Parts: sequence; C-alpha cells; structure tokens
Amino acid sequence: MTPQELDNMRRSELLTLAKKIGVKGFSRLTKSELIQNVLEAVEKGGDVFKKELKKILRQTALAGEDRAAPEAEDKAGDKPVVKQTVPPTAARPKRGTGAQAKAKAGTGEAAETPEPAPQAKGTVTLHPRKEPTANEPADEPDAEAQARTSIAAMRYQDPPLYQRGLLVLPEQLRDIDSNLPDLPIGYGDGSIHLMPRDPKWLFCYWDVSEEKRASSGKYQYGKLYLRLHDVTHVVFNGTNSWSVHQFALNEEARWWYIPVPSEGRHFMAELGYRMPDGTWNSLGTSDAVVPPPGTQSPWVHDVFVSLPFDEPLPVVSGVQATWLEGTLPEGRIPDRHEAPQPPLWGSPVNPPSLAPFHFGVGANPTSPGVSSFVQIRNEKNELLTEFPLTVNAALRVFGATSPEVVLEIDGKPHDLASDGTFTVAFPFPDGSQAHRVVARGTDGTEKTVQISFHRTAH
Amino acid sequence: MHKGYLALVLHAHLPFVRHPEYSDFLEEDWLYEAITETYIPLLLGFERLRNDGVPFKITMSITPPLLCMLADPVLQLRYTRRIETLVELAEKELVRTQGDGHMQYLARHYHQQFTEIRDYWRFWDGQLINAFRKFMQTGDLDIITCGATHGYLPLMRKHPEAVNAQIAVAVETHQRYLGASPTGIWLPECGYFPGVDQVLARHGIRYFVMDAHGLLFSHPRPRYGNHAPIFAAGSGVAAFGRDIETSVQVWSKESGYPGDPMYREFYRDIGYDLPFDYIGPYVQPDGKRKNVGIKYHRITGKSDQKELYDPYWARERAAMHAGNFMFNRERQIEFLRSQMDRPPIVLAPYDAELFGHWWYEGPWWIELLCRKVAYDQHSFRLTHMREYLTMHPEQQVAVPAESSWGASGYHEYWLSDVNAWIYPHLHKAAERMTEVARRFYHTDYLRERVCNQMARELLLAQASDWAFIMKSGTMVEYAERRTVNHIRRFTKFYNELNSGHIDENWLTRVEALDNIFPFINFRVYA
Repeated sequence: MTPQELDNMRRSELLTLAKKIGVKGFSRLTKSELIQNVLEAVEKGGDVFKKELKKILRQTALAGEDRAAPEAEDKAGDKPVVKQTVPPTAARPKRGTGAQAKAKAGTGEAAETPEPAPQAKGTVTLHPRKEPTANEPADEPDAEAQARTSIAAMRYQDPPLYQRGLLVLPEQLRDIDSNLPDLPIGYGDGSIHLMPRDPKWLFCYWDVSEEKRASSGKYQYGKLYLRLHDVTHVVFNGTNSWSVHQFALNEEARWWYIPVPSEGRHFMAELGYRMPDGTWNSLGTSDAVVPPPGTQSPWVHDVFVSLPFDEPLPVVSGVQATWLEGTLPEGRIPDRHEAPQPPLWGSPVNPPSLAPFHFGVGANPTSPGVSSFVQIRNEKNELLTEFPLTVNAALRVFGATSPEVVLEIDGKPHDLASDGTFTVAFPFPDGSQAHRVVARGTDGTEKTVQISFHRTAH
Repeated sequence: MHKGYLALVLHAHLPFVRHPEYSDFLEEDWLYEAITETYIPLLLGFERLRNDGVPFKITMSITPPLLCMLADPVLQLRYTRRIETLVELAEKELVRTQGDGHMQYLARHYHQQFTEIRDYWRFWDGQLINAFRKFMQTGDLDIITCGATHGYLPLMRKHPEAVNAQIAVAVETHQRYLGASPTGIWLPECGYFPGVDQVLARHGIRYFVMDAHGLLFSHPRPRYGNHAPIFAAGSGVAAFGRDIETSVQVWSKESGYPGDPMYREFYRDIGYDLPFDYIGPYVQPDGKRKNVGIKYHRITGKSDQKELYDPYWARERAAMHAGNFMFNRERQIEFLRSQMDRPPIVLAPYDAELFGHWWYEGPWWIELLCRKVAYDQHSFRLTHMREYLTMHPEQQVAVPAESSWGASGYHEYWLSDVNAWIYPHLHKAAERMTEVARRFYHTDYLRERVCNQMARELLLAQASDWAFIMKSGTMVEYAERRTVNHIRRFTKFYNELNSGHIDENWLTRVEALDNIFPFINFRVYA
C-alpha cells in the first residue's frame, strides 16, 4: 500500500478512513495532509489497520471497475451534483458503503483532481449536495452515518446475490410485492368450514357468494341461520341428525364461534335461510367434526401391544402386531362415545355414559309421528314453530355377582368387572322384550334371573 | 439399578426470516441472538461433557426452517459479521470499564465468552449443522424433526395433502441436512389431532411429544398417566406426555429457576443503557436502540433497582438449582416406581431458546445437571425416547386426545379474534396447491419452477409463528405482512398458471427471496 494508492482515493473517502483510524482533527486537513496522517497512523497501528486499508482499497478499485455508467465527473469547482437517490421504501441505509463508493473509471489514473464527484453511497438524503472543497469540512450527516458502522461490520459486506446465474440486486427484491393485489375478502366458493377450537367451542367460517344468497331467499324476507347438527354415526340426509341447535346470524357475519352442546359427539354446521312460511333453504353443510375431549375418558380398559422399535410398524409392514392382555375381537378400540346399538356383546365392561341417549330420531324409531326435532326461534328467542315433544327411553340392565363366576346374558358370555359387577345397555323400542341372565359358578352350580319389559307410548 | 428415566427434550425453532434485500433487518436478530446465546453455548457444553467423558443423553428437535437458515450462506456471513462486531464491542468495553473493578471483571467475562463463541463458529466454518451432526453420531443427541414450517396441523386437517406435505418436506429436509432419517417428531406446538399419527407412521416416524392432557385425556384412560407413552390406536406411533412438575420448575415466572435474583437481568442491556454515540454502531442504523447482548445487572428483585451481575455466583446458583432439580426428580421417580410395575419415564420438554437467551445461565444449568445426574445419584438416568422404546416395546394402546401446549391447552391461541382471519386464505391456498399439483404433475421446466415456488410460499404462510405473534402482540405488523405477502405471491403464481403467462423475471426474484427448501418437489401435494 503506497501513498499513490491513497492518492487515488477521493478526499471524502480519505476523511472517512481517517476518522475510522482515529486521526485527530481530520476534517480540517487537506488531502495531502490526510494521506500523511493516515500513513503515520498505519505505521503506529500495525497490521490491523494495514489489512483494513488494503481491503478498503481493493473494494474501492473493484467498485470502480464494476460500474458500467459512471456518474458525471466533476473536475473543477463547486458544481452541485444530484446524488443518486434510493427509492423511498428503503428506510435502512446500507452499511459501510463508503468503501464501495465509485472510484474514477480506471484506477491508476493520476489523481490530481481537486474536486471528486460525490459518492453514490446509498444513504437516505435526497437533496443535491454541494461539493466539499479542499478546505471545507466534510459533510456532517455523511460522516456520522459512516461513524455508525464498526470496522468489523465493514469487513463483512453482503456478497452480491446470484439466482440461477443472474445477479439480483437488493432493490429488485424490495419492491417484489408492489404490484400485487390485496387479499380478497372471500373466494365465493360456497364453502362452509367448521373447526373445533377447544372442548367448549367450535369455529365456523363460510364463503357464500351474494348470488347464492340471493337465490336462496335473502331478498324474500329469509333470515340467515346457522344450525349445528349432532350427526354422530349418521349419514346426514338433511333431517336425521340427533339434535339441532340453531343460531340467528346477521348478514354481514362471515364466521361464528359456536358453543359445544355436549361432549364427544360429532357435529356438523349448516347455513341456510328460513323463509317466513317456515321452509328452510340450505346454503350448504360443513364436514363433521368432533370437539377435543376436556376430561379424562370414563372408559378404563387396558389394551397392551408389543411393537419392537427396530421393526417397522404394522401399518407400514402389514405384519400383525402382538396383542397382549385385554384383546378386543377386531383389535380395535370403539369410538369414545358409541351410539346405542344392539347388544354390546364382546365389548369391554363399562358402556359409554348415558349422554348419547338424546331425544330424537335415531336408528330405532319409537313413537309414531315424530318428526325431526328442530326448534326454530327468532332473535328474541320466541318460538316460531309449533313446539314438538319427543320422549324416548333407554334400557340398562345391571347387576353383580362374584368375580370368578361365568356370566351369560341371552345365551352369550359376558365379561364381569374386577369387582364382579356387570352392566349392559339395550335399545328400548315399543313392545316386549325379555332377557335371561345365567351365572355359573366354578363348582358348576347355576343361578338364573329372567327379567321382562314392556313398553308402549301414545 | 435405575428406577426410572428422565428425558430432556429441547425444541430449537425459529421461523424462516431471511431478508437479503436489506443489509440489516431487525427480525433476523432472532437467529443471531439464538446462535450466540443458545445454540453455541449448548454445543460448547456438550463438547465439555464429551471431553470429560460424562455420559449424557438429550433429545433435540431442530426444525426445518432453522436447518435451512443455519445452512444459508447469506445468513452465515451476516452472523460472522455480528459475532465479530460483538467481539469488537467487548474489546471497547474492556477499554471503557478500566478503573472500575467489578465492571472490568464483567467486561472480561463477556470478552472471553464472545471470543470463545466466535472461535467455535470459525472452527465449524459457520456450518453449525455439522456440530449438531457430530453429537448425533456419537449418540449423545437424538435429533428429531418438526413440521416443515412449523404449521399448526389441527387447523389444517381439512386438507390432508397439506398435513402430509408438512411432514414429508420436514422428513426430507432432515435427511438432507443431517444425513439420517428422523425417527421422532416434535409436532408443531404439540398440536395433535387423531389421524395425524397415521401420517407420521407413513413417513417412518415412531414417536412424538404431546402436552400432558393430550395423554391424560386419551381414550381409554392410560394406566400409567403420563409416565409411560401410549401407542396411538390404528398406527402404533408412540405418544409421550409432558411432565407437569418439571415444567413448572423451569418455566414458571414466579417460582421457576430463571427468576432467581442472582441470575442475569434480561432488560438491562447496554444497547439501551449506554450513550448513543458510543453504542451507535452496534444498534440499528436508523437510530433505534435494541438489545446487543451485553448486560451487566442481575435480577436482584421485583423492583427496578438492579445490582451488578456476578457470573461466578450465578454459576454457583445454577449448580444449586441443578442439584435441586435432580433431587426432585429422584424423589418423583422413586415414588412413581413404587406405584407402577415398570420404570417410569419423566419427559421434560422445553423451548431451546429458553436456555441462554431468556435464561442466560440455562446452558450452564443443563451441563451441570448432566454431570450431577451421571455422578451424584443412582435413581434415574437420562434417556432418549427412542432408547426407551427400544428397551420397553410393550405399551398401552389408546387414542390420544386432541390438544396442544398453547395457552388453555387447545387451539384457542391460534384461532382467536386477531388471527382467525388467516384461515380462509390458508385453506384456499392449500386447496389450490393440491389442484395445481395434480394438474401440472407432468409439465415443463418453467411451470415446475412456479409450482415449486408456490409450495414454498404456502409452507411459509402456514407457519404457526405468525398466528402466535399476532396473538401475543410482539411484532404483529411483521407477522401480518409475512402471512399476507406469501399468500399474495402464491395467488399471483396461481393466476399466472391459469392464464398461461408467466413472468419469469419476477419468478427468479421470488426464488431468490423465499429460498427455503431448495430441493422441494411440489408433487408431494398431489
């Protein structure tokens, strides 16, 4: 590094350098004085500074070569030149760009020019600047910006970014979203989407277009409602849900938080207009969802299996797993709250809670003339339809014996709990039914109880 | 003979934040701070343990966005810049604090720490992934994966292809950067819904972590509470439940270890405390102050009166807390063993960034804990979840309960007044992605680039971090902008594919900007 190299730099660059190195009173020095001071400081400062300087010089030279269209060079006087400005979106000035300032095209040119052209530093000032003369102090805002960078930061500049062989400039990345349209309010695809949020709340959003609403009665005095159907173990056909809860909506709403009526059931949301004459124009239904459980499972039945870690899982390999204690016939665990079904032979001991025994139409219709249980109410909670009344009944047979006894109900074996109790659920339609419970002790003695039921409803 | 096991799980995750368009970007600091204060200190601790021959087993999840960021050259260079700047600042601090004994001692402490971190970074040539891989190969660390961009799966379940893609891309990223397939996963936010385990099984994942109630509310009721895993019914993937006691001891603001008066105070950073003309080069170029990483005060108490920090006594306190933690685990495991007919496993999962960043002495605590567990007791030992499953292949079968480790335990945090608006857009984009993946399954090179970039935009938009930030209120504007911009870019690509006119220049620019998962294949959505 020679005085000649330093001489090739512009005065403002030398000022920056001097300030970095810590030359005192640099702003008042002429260029030749600056060079002298810098050289002296480097002598004292040793290797660190030398390396620093070398780097800066190299970058200055490179920057000079790279620029295709150099700015107009000023070889005399105080002609003001408009600085290259940066688009207003860039609020963050580049760091340490003093070193990348444009040098004269072709380094090595004899640098006798008193007034170098201003540097394209990319700082955020936008006004045209007066050139500093040899005896004027450097522009304060610039020097301050330069002082804000540390030497270490100067050393590690971002390299140019290449993508697929093309140079991508940071400015080109900053405005990448500039012409993109905003997010739409909706997509108008008619979807209704139900999601569980926690055990007590579901979240439903919908995207029904104006046309669909209009053709479904919005402008014929239809009122928009959201219906929550309990569709546990049914294939919904419009009327066969276990129960319906209805919520009045306002037309502008695009989503709703729905309270969960009961735990462990499958729910489906339906949107529609209820017309003044009582007809229901459905806008569509969502998928069925199950809210997450909020309590421990009431079911206590341990099923264990052995799955060695170094072997692939049965679902992957197709090899059956080794079931251990407490096997189930099909090796599967029943759903958390199974709907009432014909006798639960071969199932674990405790039936699900009685919660599923809802009023309504299920697999086994009971009294005649019962239609879907729907209560239509307006915003004031006044009932709009004539009120329905459905009454249903469930049958639970339970008892106890000694744990080692073998139990049979209606001819089929039935497991006892560890304390010798048992309980079984039956559907309870109109008519007669009887059940026979036989207990056989280990010594061969037998005890029988026959229990009969009859049901009518009118 | 050991009566039980302790499984420490550290979840290291940062959202993909990379802004080459600005030479200095505040949110990138998350990565640089994490490297300086968490990842390298943890790795240095592991090095010391290994050098001293101390046996230890820790599970770490390193999420795909973090892997991609650690491997990115731009971010590596910027981190080099950051750590060199910190060393320089520490040197200046040494000069500034001359004459004040305690301050000089602290300045020397920071200088020594930052120099050590810088030298470690240089040793690995900026490729920290290789450091993690080394410990994976020695068997000390079990590295598990996470969702591709930490997408919240329970709110994505309507689009099984999207759920599948989050797992598939994560597994592939893990394979490529770490050289081995993951056998376990940290579900993003521990968000589980029944059915996701089938997806995991398909990709060869054998175990995952859930919050405590996910296991306790499973159906049927687990016999061993959450001190043994269950095999998810239908797939056989093991679900481990978080132990509540260990969480409270570390996480709790009031009674947890990190709040101890001897520990370093987070909010007395010299980036705010020192005059601007001194600290200027080390904070934001536009003049706004920020945390620099040098803090001289300790917590002291609840008031604003803060005493000077002393790392020597802080370390002693960390040792005491490690001993306390170990003692509690001994009692807990001994008690559980007396109630169970098999050795219990206590799962202690934490965010990795808690150790070092929020709790400065955290990495010291972990190292001291490993030493004490190895030499000062015999009731339990550290284990990996996979080691436990290898030794104990018989587990109960149950259906795990849908849950997460967010506030309230379910999905409320990501589905509330401030962030529910994103889901119609995310769902629509997922639907369109599948449509596009099928339509353009066989296509030309340019359209393939577009489809791949669409997949990246969708994955980036799905990050649960954005919804989380919107709710927690820290950098809301940034999170909203990220969600909106990724969906907008996705939509533009979708429209271009439909119209047939593709702006290749714009495509190249977006590829340069959102360059996560360089090897992604959009057909994973088909």
